[in-house]
Amino acid sequence: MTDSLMDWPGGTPWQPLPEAAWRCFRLSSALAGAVFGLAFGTIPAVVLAFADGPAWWHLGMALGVLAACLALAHWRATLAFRYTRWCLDDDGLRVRRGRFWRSEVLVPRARVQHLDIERGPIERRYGLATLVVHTAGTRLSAVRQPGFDEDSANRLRDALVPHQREHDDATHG
Amino acid sequence: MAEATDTPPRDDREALQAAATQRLHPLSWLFTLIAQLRAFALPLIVLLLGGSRQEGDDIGDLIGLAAAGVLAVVSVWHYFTYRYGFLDTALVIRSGLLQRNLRLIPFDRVQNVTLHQNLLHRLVGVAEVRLESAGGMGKAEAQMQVLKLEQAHALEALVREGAHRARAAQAHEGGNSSGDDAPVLWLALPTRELVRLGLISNRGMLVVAAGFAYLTQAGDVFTKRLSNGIESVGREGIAMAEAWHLGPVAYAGLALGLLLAMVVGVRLLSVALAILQFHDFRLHAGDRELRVERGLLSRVRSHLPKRRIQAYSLSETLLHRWFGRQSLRVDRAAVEAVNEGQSVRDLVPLATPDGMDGMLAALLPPDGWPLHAWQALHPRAWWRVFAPWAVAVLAGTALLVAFEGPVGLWALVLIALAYLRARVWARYSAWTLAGGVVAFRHGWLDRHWRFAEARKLHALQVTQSPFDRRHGMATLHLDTAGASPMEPPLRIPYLAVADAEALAARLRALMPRDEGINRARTGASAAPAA
Repeated sequence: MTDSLMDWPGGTPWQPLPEAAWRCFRLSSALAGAVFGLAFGTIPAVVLAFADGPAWWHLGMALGVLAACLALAHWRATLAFRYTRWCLDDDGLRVRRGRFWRSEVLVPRARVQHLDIERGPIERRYGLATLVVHTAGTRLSAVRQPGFDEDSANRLRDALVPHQREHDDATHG
Repeated sequence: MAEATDTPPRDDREALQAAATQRLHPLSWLFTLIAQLRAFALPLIVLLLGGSRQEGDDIGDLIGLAAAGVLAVVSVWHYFTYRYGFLDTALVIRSGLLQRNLRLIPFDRVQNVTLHQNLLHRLVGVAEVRLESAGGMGKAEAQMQVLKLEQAHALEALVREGAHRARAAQAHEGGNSSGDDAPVLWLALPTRELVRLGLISNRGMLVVAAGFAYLTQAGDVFTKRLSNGIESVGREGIAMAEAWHLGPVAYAGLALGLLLAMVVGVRLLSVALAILQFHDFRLHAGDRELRVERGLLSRVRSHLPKRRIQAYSLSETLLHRWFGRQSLRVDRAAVEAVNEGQSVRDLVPLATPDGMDGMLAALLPPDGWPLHAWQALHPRAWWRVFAPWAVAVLAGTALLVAFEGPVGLWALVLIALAYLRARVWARYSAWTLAGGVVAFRHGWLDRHWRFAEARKLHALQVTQSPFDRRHGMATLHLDTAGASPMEPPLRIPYLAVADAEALAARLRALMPRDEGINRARTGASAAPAA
């Protein structure tokens, strides 16, 4: 790589996600955290309260677990936002992710089979999109990165799949 | 598959339909019917064996008969509606009972032509032809059930010739379109070799495991009968043993003998399976293509263009070494269904190291084989392998001591084992990128090499865990097409960070660029001049 793994997540040419992605990650992560918090804190607490009669610690358990889950979700979203970088160069698209467990993926331009741009309801709200780059590979056959603003997602799509480009044989070369 | 079925304009469509003139073998409906019945065979057998028959089952019989009748009608209908034919660059297939289906398969997209003949096929003198293209997830692009043997051979030849022609037309230089190539016999396995293969590969164990898995699924009726049988045999055995007044030594001897008999039995089963699967195995190599023929009852003949090989895995277990042999498997782009598989995956089931060297040298780019310039992993790679085990053993020991007292400390012996294993693993692991081939080897008693041409890679990934970062390591994952989920992935673990970065940069340079590759023009071949 032109730039070292020591410099993580890296300055230019590495590009961060737009600020809106942070808000988007926080919201979707908070939703997931809330579901976990309800499932493992609030619902058991309610069940216990009905079984043994309500007690103060039931309320504490319900709120505590929920709060912990939400805090974790916030932390996760922040890390995901801060430590995601992407870079498009002559070779292809590179994506860096992760604070503790780090990974950098390179998909060469010539290996892109097709490309999806997905927009979920939350992402639409923030004007963001998820880019899914498909290759003919096996374990990395779909590289998926949420949080691109729609402009860069479209630009990336056009850059990775030029209109003039002929179809590649999945297995050619 | 979408690529192969691009809808042509209306006029072309009629021309295409007109081109599809040939029919399947007149008996093909029979084989279609058998194939369909086979799908119902297992539940049927279970029903017959397991279900207790009662009064009023006549209705059930009637329904079964009616279903069979419908299937027969469908099979005949299928025969009458299925036609195929040829264009310059593609095969046309018309099919469909109610919904008419016109499929166009460009020759240069065909990954593999397989001729499949089971015992019944061979009696009648027909063969089933399957055409596979990339990424079909195990489903054949076209499955022709069945063609007369000559017809099948003609189709096989046409498709392959068409593929060559399509490729020659693309290659602007055109210098290497030397027409047909006389295939050379690379490998033939006589029965002697198949016995060795069976002994080495231990395929029987898989069958035994599958049998157990099936028994647990089969429900009470089978298991009850089986367990009753085992119990009565066991009781008789114990009674007999008591009558002989055996001591503990004799008991141990008996148990050992029983175990030995089981091991021998499984190995014999393996040999039988190897013979069944690989009888009269022949590997022919042409300029561009490999051809594999094999099978005792069902003969399979399949083709594999050399350039379609995505990655290799070579193995040499302890048994391999005792017999002086090696085995080679290859990944190809089309993903095979698990039970259909192994037609070409086991490209070289067994060969001497010298023979293997010759074949690999011919398959890989010049200077690619033998693999050379091996380099070691990170000096502390062993520590990376050892640490998780050490933590696990320590935690386990702590639990044991807590519950069982100081006796639990004996579990610490496992740490020594884990340490040895990690040291040996790290010592015998190495990687190389030379001559355009990237490889990773590991193993001491059982040795494995996993390698691929760098230009066949599809994506790269570098990963680091917190442990890796502290020690300055990184793992490089190399993604290839068609990698089997059963095989270990192609990855080079625990490299020094500088090595990982340098290797990634070199691989990036070797991976294909947009302008550099000779692309197959589907645009041209999907709408041929009819």
